[in-house]
Amino acid sequence: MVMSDKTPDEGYVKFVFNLTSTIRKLSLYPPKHPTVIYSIKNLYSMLREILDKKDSINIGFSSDNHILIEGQLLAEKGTKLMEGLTAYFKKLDIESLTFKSGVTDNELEAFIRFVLMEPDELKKIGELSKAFLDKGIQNIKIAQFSYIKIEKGKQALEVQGEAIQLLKRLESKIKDFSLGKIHEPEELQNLEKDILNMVTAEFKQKKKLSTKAKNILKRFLLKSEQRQEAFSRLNDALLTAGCSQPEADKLVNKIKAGVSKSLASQEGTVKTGRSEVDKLETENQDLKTKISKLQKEIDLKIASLDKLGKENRSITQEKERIDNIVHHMAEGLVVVDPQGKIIMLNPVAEKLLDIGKDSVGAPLNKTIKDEHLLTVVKNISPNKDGTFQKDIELLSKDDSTKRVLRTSSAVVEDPDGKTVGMVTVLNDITRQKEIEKMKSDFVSNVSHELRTPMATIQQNITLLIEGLPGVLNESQLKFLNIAQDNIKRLKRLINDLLDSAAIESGKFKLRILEANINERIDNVVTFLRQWAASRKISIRTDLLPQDTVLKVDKDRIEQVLTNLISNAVKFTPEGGEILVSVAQREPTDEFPQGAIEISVKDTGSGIAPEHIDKVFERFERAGAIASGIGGTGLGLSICKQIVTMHKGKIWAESKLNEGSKFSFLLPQKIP
Amino acid sequence: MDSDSVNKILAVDDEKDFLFILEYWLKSKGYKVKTALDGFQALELVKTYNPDIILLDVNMPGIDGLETLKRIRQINKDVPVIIITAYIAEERVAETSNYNISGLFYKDKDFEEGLKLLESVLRTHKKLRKD
Repeated sequence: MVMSDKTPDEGYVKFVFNLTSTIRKLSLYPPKHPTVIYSIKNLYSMLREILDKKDSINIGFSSDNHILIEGQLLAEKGTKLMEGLTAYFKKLDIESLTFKSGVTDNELEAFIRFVLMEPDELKKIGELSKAFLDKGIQNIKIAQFSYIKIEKGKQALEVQGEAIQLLKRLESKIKDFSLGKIHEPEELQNLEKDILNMVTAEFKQKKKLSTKAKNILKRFLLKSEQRQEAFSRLNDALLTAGCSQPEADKLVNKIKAGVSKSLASQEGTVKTGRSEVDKLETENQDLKTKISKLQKEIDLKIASLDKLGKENRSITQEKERIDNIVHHMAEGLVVVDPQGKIIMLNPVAEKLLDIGKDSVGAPLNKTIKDEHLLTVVKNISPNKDGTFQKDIELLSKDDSTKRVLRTSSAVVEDPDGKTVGMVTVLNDITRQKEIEKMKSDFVSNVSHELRTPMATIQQNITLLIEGLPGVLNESQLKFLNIAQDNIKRLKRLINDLLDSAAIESGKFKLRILEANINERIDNVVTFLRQWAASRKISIRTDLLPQDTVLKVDKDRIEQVLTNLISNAVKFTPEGGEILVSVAQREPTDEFPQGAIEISVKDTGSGIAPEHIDKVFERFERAGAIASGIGGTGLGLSICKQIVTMHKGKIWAESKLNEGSKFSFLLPQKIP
Repeated sequence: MDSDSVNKILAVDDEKDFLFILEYWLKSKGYKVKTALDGFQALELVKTYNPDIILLDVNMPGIDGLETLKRIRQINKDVPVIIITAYIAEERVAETSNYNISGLFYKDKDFEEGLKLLESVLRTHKKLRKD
């Protein structure tokens, strides 16, 4: 194979890339699929363009997986792709491939179908070039890998060798004969017989005679005493060998003419005879050199075959290793092609989907009862990026048990960016879901069980304090007030805990109704003012000039306000002041309908800068423990959740020892 | 309040203790009160006692508040019903709003607030009936 340093024409390279991707597409899509038709058409027009400029294009494959186009080595770029292409052709033992002008798109497709045949099918076909012709592929020629050629070459060489031996023997005999060394009639007869055999065999095979054979025959006839009889015996021998009379006549006449010419100048003939012998000997030497050269080539090819064998083994081992990993994965793995046909699945997937190994090759929707997985498959659209996750519920074939599978899918693309299928990893999360449900049931049970007795105790104490059953003395009243304060504190803690659990389990829901925001703030401040006053802290409000109605969960918004104001009271020393203000905000990108900002500002101890970002995190108490102020560390995280569920936002600003300001924005209209 | 215009309240809750204090307090405000510990008793009293207003707990064993409400509506479409509940995030509370309820009262709120709600519902309802 001739290699050149020049790089191939870009159009050729494109064609080879296109050929590879077309082969891939044909391997994935059914024959009449639009993608197939389009790819073939596209490839064909590329080829036509190339063949308009020259008669043929040749693509070769070297044993070390290099691709040569018109004898020029394809650059490293796209090596993977090239390996893929070479692999296809190695399967067919194709060493080189020539597209000739006149090739049709049908031939192209038929050819690619050959390339995609399974090894078993290929075996049945037998000789490939013949099968090509049967399928009407006339303008795509292949040369098969060298070791096949070598076999043929060897045989040819053997035949050639025998012929050479015979020629040599006859030449030396003729020499003897010319020198008058052969007299015996029997010997003479044998020589003539040998010569005629050689001549007829060669003539029959090639329909003409080599110079050497012609010379031997002529020299024999020149010297022969029974020349005319010999000519007629030559004629007979040719006919016996199956040549036609005109063919035989032609040869005999030609030889006769040659012989007469030679007889005319006997002297010259002898000379010529000598030089012919010399020439034959030189040619013989050349042939010997050629044989030894071919032998060397054979050795080289055998060595490269060995190398290929080793590579093949290591690839097989690698494949086995990957198969092993996939086989023993704890997760289920399913690979489907773009049509939803299963390409591969591992034992865990078989178990999870309740299907057998024989499902490989079958469409997924026909294989599993529920089509949830298929809806994922349907979502495949080329150029879609990343993975997507989905929980699906599958009933067993007899509907007796239900499994919940978490599927993570990723679209697989080839180097050209075309979708070749989808890989789905399946995790059985049935147990996890059960536990989640148990947890959420527990939360809702406990929430009821804890709140009901608390409400009862609280209402009992309230009625006693109000003096409904009878007027109380001062000490009795004081004890009951302490009990009530503490029951309220306990209630807040339990509510925070249960809200937090509800948020975590996704059961925290809003009840959105219209509410007057000024009224809500007033309501909360009125409720807390007395408690603040008991700590010598005043609460001022700066409300909106006009009543503004927002669509909110008013109980939850009051909860946020209560939380922020209570915190302010807790962290503000005696004599401090708390300002609750409301303001209208102009529309922004974030809040195109405008927003209401509510702030709670205190003159308390403030929050250190390193804590300010963390105050809305769960269980974060930002130095509150050191200051001896009680709380669960849940309040602000619940506030944040409530505001976020209203599509608003909440934040804190603070300076240590100067006070804090907590603010939140509620959109004028929830988008 | 003269005896003719005294309103009859039916309070339904499986929590005996809470029901006791609710009844005591409502009576102290001058209402006539009957109580039911479950849905079946409640339905019976809706027929025989013909209350002006019903306070109904959501979370009850047997037939729960929601189911009881559905059946009350089969007997009497108009009687105002206030749902009482211990927890505002109670899922079933949201469902009750499909059955024409007049309000929600949380068990741990001040009874005074509950009284305001009760009185306003009764006023609105009486006005509607007169019209």
